[in-house]
Amino acid sequence: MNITLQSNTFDILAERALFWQEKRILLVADTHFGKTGTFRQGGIPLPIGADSQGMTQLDALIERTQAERCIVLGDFFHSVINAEWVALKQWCQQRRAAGRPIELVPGNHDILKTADYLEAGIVIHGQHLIIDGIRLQHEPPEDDGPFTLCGHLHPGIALSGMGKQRLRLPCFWFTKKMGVLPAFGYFTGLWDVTPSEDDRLFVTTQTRQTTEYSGTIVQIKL
Amino acid sequence: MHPNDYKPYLKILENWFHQRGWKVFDFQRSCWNAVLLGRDGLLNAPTGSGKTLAMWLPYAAKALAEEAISSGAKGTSRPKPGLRLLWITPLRALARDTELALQKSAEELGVSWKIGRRTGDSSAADKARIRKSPPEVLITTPETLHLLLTQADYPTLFRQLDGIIVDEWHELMGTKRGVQTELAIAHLRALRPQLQLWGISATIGNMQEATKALGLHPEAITIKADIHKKIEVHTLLPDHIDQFPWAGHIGLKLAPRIAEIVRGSTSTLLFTNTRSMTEIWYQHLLDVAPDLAGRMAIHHSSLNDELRSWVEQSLHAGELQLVICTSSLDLGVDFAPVETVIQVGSPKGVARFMQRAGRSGHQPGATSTIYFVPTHALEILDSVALQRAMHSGQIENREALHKPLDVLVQFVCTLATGVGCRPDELFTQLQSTYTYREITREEFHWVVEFLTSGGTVLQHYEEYTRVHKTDNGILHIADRRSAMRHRLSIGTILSDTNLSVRFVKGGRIGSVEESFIARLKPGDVFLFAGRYLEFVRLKDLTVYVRKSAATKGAVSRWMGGRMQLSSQLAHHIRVLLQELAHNDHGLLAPELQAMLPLLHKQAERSHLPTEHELLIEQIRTREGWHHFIFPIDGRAVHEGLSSLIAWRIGQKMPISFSIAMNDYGFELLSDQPVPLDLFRDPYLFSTDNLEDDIRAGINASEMAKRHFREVARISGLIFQGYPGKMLQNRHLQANSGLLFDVFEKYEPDNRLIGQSYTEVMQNHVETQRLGRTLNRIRSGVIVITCPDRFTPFSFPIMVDRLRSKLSSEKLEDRIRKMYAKLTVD
Repeated sequence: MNITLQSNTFDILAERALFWQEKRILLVADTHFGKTGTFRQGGIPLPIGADSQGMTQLDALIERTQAERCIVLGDFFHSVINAEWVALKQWCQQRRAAGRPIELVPGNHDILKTADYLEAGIVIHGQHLIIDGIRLQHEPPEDDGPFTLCGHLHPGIALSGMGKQRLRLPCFWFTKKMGVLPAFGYFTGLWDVTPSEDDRLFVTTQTRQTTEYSGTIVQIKL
Repeated sequence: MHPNDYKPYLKILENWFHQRGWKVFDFQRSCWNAVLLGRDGLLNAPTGSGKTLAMWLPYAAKALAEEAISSGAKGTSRPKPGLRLLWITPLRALARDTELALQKSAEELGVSWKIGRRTGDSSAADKARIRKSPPEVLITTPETLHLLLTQADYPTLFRQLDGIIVDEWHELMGTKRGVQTELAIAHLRALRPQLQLWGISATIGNMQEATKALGLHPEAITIKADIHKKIEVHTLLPDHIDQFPWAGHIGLKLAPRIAEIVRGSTSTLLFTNTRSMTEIWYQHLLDVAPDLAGRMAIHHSSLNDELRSWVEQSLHAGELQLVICTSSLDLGVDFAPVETVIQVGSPKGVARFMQRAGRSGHQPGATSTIYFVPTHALEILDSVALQRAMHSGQIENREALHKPLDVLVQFVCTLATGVGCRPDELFTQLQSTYTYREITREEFHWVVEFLTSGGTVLQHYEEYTRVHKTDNGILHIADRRSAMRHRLSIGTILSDTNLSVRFVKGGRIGSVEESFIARLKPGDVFLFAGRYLEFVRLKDLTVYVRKSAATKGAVSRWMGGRMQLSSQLAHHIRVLLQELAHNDHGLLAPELQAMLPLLHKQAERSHLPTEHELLIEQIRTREGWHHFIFPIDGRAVHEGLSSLIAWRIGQKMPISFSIAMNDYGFELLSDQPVPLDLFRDPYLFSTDNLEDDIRAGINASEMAKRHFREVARISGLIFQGYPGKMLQNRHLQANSGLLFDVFEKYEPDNRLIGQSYTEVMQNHVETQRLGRTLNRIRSGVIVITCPDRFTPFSFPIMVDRLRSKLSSEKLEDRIRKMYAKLTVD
């Protein structure tokens, strides 16, 4: 499934990522690495696993799309440094060594020191980045600036079926002035969007509950 | 002291009764003797029977005896002041009433013991005073008792404790709060082995088990209050019974007659089953009986405390003629008797019905009168079934819980916050309790590991610290913040985020749930506390409102357990139908006479099932193919059974259903018919692979996830925050569903996840009861009919399904239209 935005073509991927064909850029948002570690520090013994699954999945995506760049639209690491940062740092360094480093447009959760990101080999951008007239940033824009791709909201939508069936799925939400990516991280919640009729909405069936790397993209009629 | 030494003091008690013109009941005298003989036991007595005086007065006698000795010539030293008796009560409001009752009698008898109360309502000053100089008698709730155990000096507080009395044990039995009570008792007993233990409980079906679950040993005695109160039930029958009943329909029609009953009585309690219904009935009665304005009030648990005590006091003082209430007025120590009780809608259980009926006619030998107002025609059967169950003394069980690990996790933290927890000692204590008698070392070890290193034997999370294990193996929470956090998390009651409701000009009215307010826009009007209020704004967890002149608005809704028919009652209803199917109808009770047209219509269009028959109706409408199945065994059983049958049919043919149910049966709606032969296939109602099939059929994972909210909250995985403040660490925010998914995915054998599944299967789906239903069906006959339109039995189920889909106003119209079609023959 793909979508044309500002005369550019983007693949909408079930793994909750966008692939910009013309620029060969893989875009993800809200990975929230290290979140389970934050909870463990806070006295809640969550199991390990969400981070390594996220890293494996990003590797696989970069491999599959043959992306030349991988840009994270903010909230890359969840909180202050913890044990999970160590593994993540190593992985980032490997990505750098492979010639395709993680690039970060920082979000509100990215509170580490710049030196920490640099040490991990992460390319760190300013509050926003404009490529071919398309603005990349963490939060949805409040101005009438250029078309923006962003994250932050963790968009999702509840679908109801026959009987009392109800399903909440993460979604990609495109309006006239912006496109919002679903959160890439598995240990994240959903925020219900209220789209207007002109918007376009795509749900992914790959949710935090699914165990295997599969899923499809379905456009929702509004 | 020798028991005989108390004789003079028993005389004082008798005299005190005499002076008030009261008679000492035999059971009260038995209790006094048993307590003074040092025995443990259970007093089986209903609310309002004089049970408080039965249990407290022997301690008052002890106090008098001690004082006499210490002031005697020998110069014996006076016992040191300190806590002697702990009185545990399930409700804060009851604690207040009990305190007043005990203080009054202590004063009049000249007992110098201080009587104090510590609950969640106590002010910081009160708490400090109790800590500094504890009263001899402390009245408290299970949660606050656990809070006391988090204080490092609690062994000092309890070092002179002689006795524990657990009031209204039937309310706590079978709940996690009951388990908390049992754990605290077991722990205090380890501290004070001579502790005397008494429980007070209304009658429940499994009295013996209740005794064990409290921690009473086999040699403990049971004293039964010999009060045989006559209960008279009047069923209000509408002049005309519609042949197609639907919920809520006829109840309000009876309002004028209810108003008549209220006018003819000095005081009336009207019980409804939900808080929303109190609001609806208040407005409706105001409409039909404007003369009652100012003489009636609402009472339910979401109203402000002050408002509630005002209502209670006004009722005492005879200023109110009618109080519309929920189970909020089921209990109450010194509750003045009312003249009349009205129950709207089926109470669905015998115990609840008797408790409410007992609210009227408190005088010994007086008759309790209760009016039963059915909200739909089939509930008239409930009325007859209730009366039969009552006469044969069949009261529901309160099923005991089986080793819930979430409560244990919380308890270990509680002890670790106080003086520290020695795992070996705790394990021995646990084995002595009823709830955890079968706990294995492995399970206990898991709990300890979960709290100290993260729960898995193989993984030790280096950054994880909730409870420290010291070098000598003691579990301890040293960090002040963690200790604070745990203190604020104690408890097992789960509620939706409650928002305080206030007038813009000031004055708190009560609380509503966030999910209700989320649907309102500023300017919208809603009904609350009997008033129409305009929603102004939501700020800082407070809903600001102003009075509205509107006469229509959304009715406040609260989530709450949906009551379902108890199996005792369901059985009686099936027997009744059997009798009706065979009877020549000559000697029927008037209630049943009134139902005959409806039942005839059922027999004519389909079939009236006897006790050993399972009726299945297949009806085709424009909506599709409806399959109605009537096991008549209560909503919870039908919920599990409908999913099970739907799933099993799905194994035989590709088909999808939408499911609806009520207490009588359930509906499987599909776009294609189920071949009728399939319903006779033994596989459909078989008990083989029952558990697996249910798990596959119900969305077990979804249900367990929803239930995990409670488990996560109790075991401290989610923290509701500091009172009045938002969560301090925003990076620690996650809902229980999110946690459930992470555990299920990366640590599926986590025992708290397992507990969630088990509790869903046992308590929600009630697998055991479902198995009994299947056995009953298999040993009986299946009767299948194909009526050409809805029948009196199927109509209410279909309406219930629509109700869940449409807004109430539109629904009303639609049902009327459908109803018009149905009755044209």
